[in-house]
Amino acid sequence: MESKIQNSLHTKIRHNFGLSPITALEFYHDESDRAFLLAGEDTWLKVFDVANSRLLGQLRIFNSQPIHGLHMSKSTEKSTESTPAIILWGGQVVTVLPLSSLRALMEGSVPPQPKESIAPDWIYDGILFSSKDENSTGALVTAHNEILPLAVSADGQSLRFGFLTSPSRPILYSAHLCWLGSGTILVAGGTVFGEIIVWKYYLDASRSSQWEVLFVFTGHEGSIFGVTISPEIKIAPDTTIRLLASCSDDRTIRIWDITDRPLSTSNGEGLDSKALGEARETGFGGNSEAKEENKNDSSRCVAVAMGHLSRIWHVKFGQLNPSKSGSWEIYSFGEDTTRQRWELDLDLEKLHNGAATRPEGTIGTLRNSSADSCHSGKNIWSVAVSNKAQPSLVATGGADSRIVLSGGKGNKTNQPGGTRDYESLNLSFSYDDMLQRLQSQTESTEPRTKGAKHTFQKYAFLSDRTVIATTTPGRLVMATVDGDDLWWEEADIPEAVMADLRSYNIMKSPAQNAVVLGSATGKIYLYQKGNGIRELAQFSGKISDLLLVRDPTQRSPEGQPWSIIVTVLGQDRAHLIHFDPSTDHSTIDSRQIILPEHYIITATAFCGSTLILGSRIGALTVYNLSHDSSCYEPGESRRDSKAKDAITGIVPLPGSGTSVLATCRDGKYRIYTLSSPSSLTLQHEISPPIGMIEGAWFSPSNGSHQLLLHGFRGKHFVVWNETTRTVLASIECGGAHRPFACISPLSDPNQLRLVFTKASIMRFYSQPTPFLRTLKEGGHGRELRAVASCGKYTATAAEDTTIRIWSTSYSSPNCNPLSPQKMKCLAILEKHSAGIQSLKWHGEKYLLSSAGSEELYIWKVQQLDSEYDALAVVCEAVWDDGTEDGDLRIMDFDVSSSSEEDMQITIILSNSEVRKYHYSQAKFTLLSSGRYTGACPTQVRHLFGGSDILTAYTDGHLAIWRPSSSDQTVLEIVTLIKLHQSSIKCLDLTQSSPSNQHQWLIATGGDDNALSFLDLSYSAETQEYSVKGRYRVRDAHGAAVTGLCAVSHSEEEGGGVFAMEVATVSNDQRVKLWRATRRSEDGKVDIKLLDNKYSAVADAGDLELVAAGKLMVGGVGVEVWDVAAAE
Amino acid sequence: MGKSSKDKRDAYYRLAKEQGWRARSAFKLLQLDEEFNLFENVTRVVDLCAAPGSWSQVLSRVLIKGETFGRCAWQDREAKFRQNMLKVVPSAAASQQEVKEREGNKPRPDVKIVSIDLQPISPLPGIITLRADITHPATVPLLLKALDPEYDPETMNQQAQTPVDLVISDGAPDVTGLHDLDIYVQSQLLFAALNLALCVLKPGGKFVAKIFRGRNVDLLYAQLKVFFEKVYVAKPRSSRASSVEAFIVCINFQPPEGFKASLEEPLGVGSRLSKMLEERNAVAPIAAPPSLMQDPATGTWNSREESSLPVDDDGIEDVQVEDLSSEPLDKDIRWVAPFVACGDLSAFDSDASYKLPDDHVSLDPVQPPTAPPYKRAIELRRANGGAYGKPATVST
Repeated sequence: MESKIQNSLHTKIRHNFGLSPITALEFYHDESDRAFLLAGEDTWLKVFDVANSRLLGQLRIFNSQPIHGLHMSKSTEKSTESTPAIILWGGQVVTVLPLSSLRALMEGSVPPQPKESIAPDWIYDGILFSSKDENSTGALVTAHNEILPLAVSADGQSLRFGFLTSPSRPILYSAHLCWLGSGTILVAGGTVFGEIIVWKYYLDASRSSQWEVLFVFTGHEGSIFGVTISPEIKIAPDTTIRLLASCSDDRTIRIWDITDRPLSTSNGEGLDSKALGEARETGFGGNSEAKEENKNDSSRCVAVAMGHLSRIWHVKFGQLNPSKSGSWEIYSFGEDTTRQRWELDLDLEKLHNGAATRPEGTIGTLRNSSADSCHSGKNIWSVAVSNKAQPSLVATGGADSRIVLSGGKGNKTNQPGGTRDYESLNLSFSYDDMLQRLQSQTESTEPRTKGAKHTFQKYAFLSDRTVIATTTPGRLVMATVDGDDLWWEEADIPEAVMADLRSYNIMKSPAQNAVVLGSATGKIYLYQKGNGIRELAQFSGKISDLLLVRDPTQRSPEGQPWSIIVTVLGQDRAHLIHFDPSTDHSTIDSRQIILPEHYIITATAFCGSTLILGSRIGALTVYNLSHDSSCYEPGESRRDSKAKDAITGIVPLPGSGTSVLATCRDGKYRIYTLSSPSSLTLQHEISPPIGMIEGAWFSPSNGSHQLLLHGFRGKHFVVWNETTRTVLASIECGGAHRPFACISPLSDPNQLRLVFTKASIMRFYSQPTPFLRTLKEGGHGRELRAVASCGKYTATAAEDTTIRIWSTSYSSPNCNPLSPQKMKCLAILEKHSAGIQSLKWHGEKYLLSSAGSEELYIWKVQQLDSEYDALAVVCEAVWDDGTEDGDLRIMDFDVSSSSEEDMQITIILSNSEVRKYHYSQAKFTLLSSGRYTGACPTQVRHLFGGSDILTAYTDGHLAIWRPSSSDQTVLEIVTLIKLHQSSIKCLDLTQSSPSNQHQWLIATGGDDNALSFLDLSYSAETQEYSVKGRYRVRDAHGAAVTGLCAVSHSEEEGGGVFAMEVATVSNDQRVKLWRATRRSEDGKVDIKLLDNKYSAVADAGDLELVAAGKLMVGGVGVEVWDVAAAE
Repeated sequence: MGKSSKDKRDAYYRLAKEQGWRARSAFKLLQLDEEFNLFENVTRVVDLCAAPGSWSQVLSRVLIKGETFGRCAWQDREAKFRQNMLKVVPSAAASQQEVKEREGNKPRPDVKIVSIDLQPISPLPGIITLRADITHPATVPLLLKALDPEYDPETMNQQAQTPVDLVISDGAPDVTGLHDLDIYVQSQLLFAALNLALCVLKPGGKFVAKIFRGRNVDLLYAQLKVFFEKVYVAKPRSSRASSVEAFIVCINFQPPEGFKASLEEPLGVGSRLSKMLEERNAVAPIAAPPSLMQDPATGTWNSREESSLPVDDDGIEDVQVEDLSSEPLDKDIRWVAPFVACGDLSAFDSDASYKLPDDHVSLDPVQPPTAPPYKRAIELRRANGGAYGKPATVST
């Protein structure tokens, strides 16, 4: 991919796009109550339409500083288009945007970039307000608990800061400001050492003191990562209270009463001087004296709860209207990527009395009501809650660059054509409830016996709106959605059938408005709504199961023929029944299905004319018609699940006659291709985040297909969109092993109806939209460690041990920047258990990855022959020549070969070893090995296709290895070169065209901030390397150079000037482009710095040319740069 | 990770236990000392963010007990053997230095060491330990009182009567993962240490502190250069190459004329320091990095004129880069401190895995790690049988 240098002197880099952590979020409701979400991603402000998740506009706010927070002005009075509407900050940088800029963004145009101002310290929160004093129209709170008032110039362009004011300057991890009106700001600061300071700031500089401390709260045992002041809450006609919520490193959430009662401020003065001023031992918990001092304050802690698996970053108030729900709503957000909902109940009586002696946390309770994982990897970095909508709009922004949203009305427009959206329902019916409904609805006078112990048994959807259930007395009942309730009716079936279905039955719905039932006496019935019930067949034994034979994507067209497989207890044959609605005629296929011994069918599908069965113990069996066409005979059988877990479903891939997808209770789904008439080849094996997959289907939309999976995770029923990697529904149902049925519109998997039994109660759940919506797609939620591209696909590996494979489309930077994502995730591989060190492609078909714990995997990657355009990936081989303990890290590897199936793989291990293998047909054969001084290797490259091996080390050396002439299994060092003071972190090389004289320029980046070039040549005659020169740019970066990539090179005929352009990235968050040129006059190398740009990617781990002229930086997020000659 | 596999993964973890250090970080200070001769003529030291106390332990054993630790303390004999075999030669200066053995150390008279941390530090012989937050202004009088029992806090004087020779700080926050914030908090710890150092350090004194080499670290280097003649960024071999951690080594404290340290107007926030830097830079620009050379006689580092010696001891040519980048420069004054790798090549590699003899017995750590604030949460979760889900694995 490396290209020839163009003869222009000025190659430059230009930002193409990126995925960065979402570090700021805020809702905005316009005059017509349309909701927008403002998001800070790196230096960019992005505006989304909440209703349709569209990105409306974006604007670069700061030059080289991510946005850490933003605040919308609440004041609507006297606001004009030039009134500052948003204040944004990041680190020490602050700016404001006028309303006109926001409107421009909402209309998709690009307003001017605002002017940056530098505050004297790091900013945690900021507000804008309208006050009489025109010198103060906003305020910021710093990381040292100081208030910095500010004024915006008349043109709205620049900021003027006032004087810092603080009662005490501990270092904070969080702060929140609240405008109280009348020139007063309420400040809450959460310190690194677990204290919370609540104080008032007065704008009026003529006061004797501009501050007044209200409370110092102790109680948390770790740093305070989040504090939020509630609005005033009315608890009685003339009584309001105010609460503070805090969250901490100690995994607790605390709610404090910060109502400013006249009584409490009287001791304020004493508190200020004693608790904050004097010389005292500080730190966690403070000393006992200070604790005694604040005892009264700490009794204001009204509720405490512990939650989350790791640190809690934010806490917010939701709906605070107790009359409606009975309890108040609190949300917390953590490092564990969950958002948790809490219900707060307060004893208002006790609270109102404000007793000073009550023990902490005893007048309220916090009850956890839900925990939802919203992001990949780790951390929710930003949150926004708007209580203007019902239910509250809650948005989270993750380290994974994704934005997830819940609440609001979901604002969907019904499609023309009459398909109604599913209602939002969550209903429960006991058997007796159902009977009562039947009686009242039909006004039947016939007394129905009360079903003392009767329950619902099996469920099936007859249509989008109607569910049918069998019951223990053998009655068939139907419930149809009617507004926000269900309308019940009973199928009129003969008493004899009812008796036959009593206690035991099997029910499946093969077509719209039809169900097939099987009984213990071996009878098969067909019930058609409006047509009544009739017997289809009689078998000589209990019907053990009925299995639908259909393409689930073809479900529902009424009037189409369908087939069903019947298994009978104790029989070694299964039967096929066909039904043709046009003739209203059923036939029992004479070609029976021969079952192996003890084979229990759990799933079935036709793949072309081949029948495939799945079994209770996880086997997949191919069936073909026997030679005389008298029966289906079992062909090859395979089992890929480690335990004996059942196959729960088999689905043909859309548009493919040869591939099927099988879901298994082991939590995996697999894709197989029928390679010969009776053999299945495993193409793809993935564990989606569902514990027990119960089924799969493909939803067609816009010419492509999405894969939907459903099953059970813990106590929840989960619907998962594998294509978008989103949880569409997560419903607490009590766990697996229960009767259930679910249905979604074919082209809208977001809608769902689910019916299930929980504790003998039938539950009916229906949703028009998913509970959580993805407003913006993201990537890895942890630091990328490796990036590799084969041209067609790009693979990335992250700290959390996952690998993602992407298809990429980098439009030219001049085209619409709001166009949909330029990276589409095709597959996520989750097999590594230790940190991934290296990733490389071998052609387009093989991806290799190495990690700690001696993991080296070879993945086979294929495009499926299907309309479903995801990739099929299967781990073909695992390196197995490790040490007994298996605890070395495979730091890097290189791979080369003469043919696609055979590879030469050289790996380097953290114990200083280098080993070369031949790989073929999933087998590794050791060819040779060598050991360095003990220093850890960092990089390896093959020279001459692997006959020589170049390695780099933590001691700053490069070594070239070659098999010993006396013993080919021993690698010897032929050349050793020092280039850096300490670890060589990255390396790339470029080779001159083959001639008698082989020559390389090797570029290395070091932990010592340096970029080095090695001018190396090799003589084919003497078979020796010689160093022509070693060149170093000492301070190439301000910090360790962690990624390096050769971008292009050139040479003149006769091998005169030889130039190489390389890009580097560093922990200093700069991406730089260099050119090294070998001078023709003396053969020395000149180095030029061509470009130097701010990079959004912190902790960059790799840099790779992913397409011609496209550089990808991977670290905290990803970034793509265009490399091109400057105009 | 179990103790035994950590022994293999981390040679310094194992060595620390074998040699009785409270934490592996002791080797970082020892290797810094080896390179920069930090303890030369030093008797009065302040150790900040000291818990669990391994740096104080180094001070106690070197200054008070008079013990000597050379590179033999962390030398990988096998590596040395293999280096000879593979002809990995240390640079000329380093080998010369090896000839010069450290003079025998003796217990020094009038040693005064004060250690401060938020966490309690187990007592160490001869060392005064304080439990305090170094970012808090109230800590200055506490420290001055500890250094000088005659000190009267009522005077509000913020300068030590008898200043110290060396201030060291190995403090780091619990990182959050938000890199900007972590770098900021680390820089605030560094400035807190510097602010205290400016109150107690004597002219000519030394300052060593942990630094995160991330975005804008070059601003920090330039700011530190205001107060010290020489500023280096050092990476001991015992500090992992994969970590952003490094140490800033500031030599020869030269407070600018008229400068008075005050925690009322601390450095690290506000514009005071950047103004001082602008003034200083107007007189003597620091933008051009001096090339480095180690004096073979003393082992110390000297800077030289740029053009005089483009080839270093290892024979690598330092290239002057022609800058064609068009990025508009910000007003900030930036400077990259010279990088120095400490601990010679025969030192154990903190990134490598080592094979241990079959009869290796894994020792218990000298001191258990300090209790995290979420200890109670973990205990509760265990007691509740994992009411919050699976108990998180706690590394031991």
